[in-house]
Amino acid sequence: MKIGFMLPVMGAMATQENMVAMAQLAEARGFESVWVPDHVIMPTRIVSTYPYTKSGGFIADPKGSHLDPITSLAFVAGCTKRVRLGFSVLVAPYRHPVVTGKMMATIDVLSNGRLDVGVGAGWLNEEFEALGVPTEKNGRARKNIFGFGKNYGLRKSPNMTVNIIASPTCNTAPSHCRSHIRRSPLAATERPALGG
Amino acid sequence: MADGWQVVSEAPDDVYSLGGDLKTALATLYQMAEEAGRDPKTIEVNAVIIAGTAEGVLRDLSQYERMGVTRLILDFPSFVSDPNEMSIILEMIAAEAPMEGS
Repeated sequence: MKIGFMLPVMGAMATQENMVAMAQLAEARGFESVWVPDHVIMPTRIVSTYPYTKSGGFIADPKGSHLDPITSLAFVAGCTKRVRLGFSVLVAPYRHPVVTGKMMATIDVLSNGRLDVGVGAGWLNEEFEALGVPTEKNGRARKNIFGFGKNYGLRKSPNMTVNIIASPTCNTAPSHCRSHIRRSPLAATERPALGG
Repeated sequence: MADGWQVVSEAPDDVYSLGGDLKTALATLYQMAEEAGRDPKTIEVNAVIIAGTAEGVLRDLSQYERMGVTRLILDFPSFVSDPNEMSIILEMIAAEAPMEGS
């Protein structure tokens, strides 16, 4: 079985020294991948129910540091050579899909194709509110997931080059990406697609 | 569109709020894949699990594999706040677990 682990991007362990140490431990000890969760703003008081534990409580300390996942993985790409790099998971509505796709494609190129992108709809209502993303329009997440894939070729097969960009006069290269998208097959339901 | 599917799990028999267990959910996934003209065997299944102890991870590993999980992602709860503690857990797992892709 492939085994990876979450890097310490949250809490007291979220330091440059620990990020490097854990990423290099992964490479040295044979782990297949390292991963980061996605939070932009962490509310100090969380009322939303975390949908992935029995208790409904979030497993991380909301009062600690939380590093940006995209820049964190870009950093880790530069200090590793073998392990795959993953988002578990990017919350699709938080960012513009084309901007996100551009960043994903860049990390993928700079890491020599080691990126795996998990995508989800999110669960933390307080974070949606802080970012000005309406929670009642959770369907928007799915549109963004599809827009993301459409613009950057994140479809069935890797190495697909797609030229569909917002404006035909724009150059957004690199426009290919060897990353993967993960989403729930149960997305037609109202529950969040994946953890974020 | 996606290459895989991901669940979050506290234990092999408790795969968050799917409205069913992982076995049932995977049956639904595979059926949907077939209906979409995709080979279900090509769909990766990730499980994010809480790695409170190395012993717990090593104990549950084969059960996840039998259930169809192809990749485990170890997450650490907030009480693991010391990098040495995290390293010890990871070193123990690396020493004992058969790992693909290394």
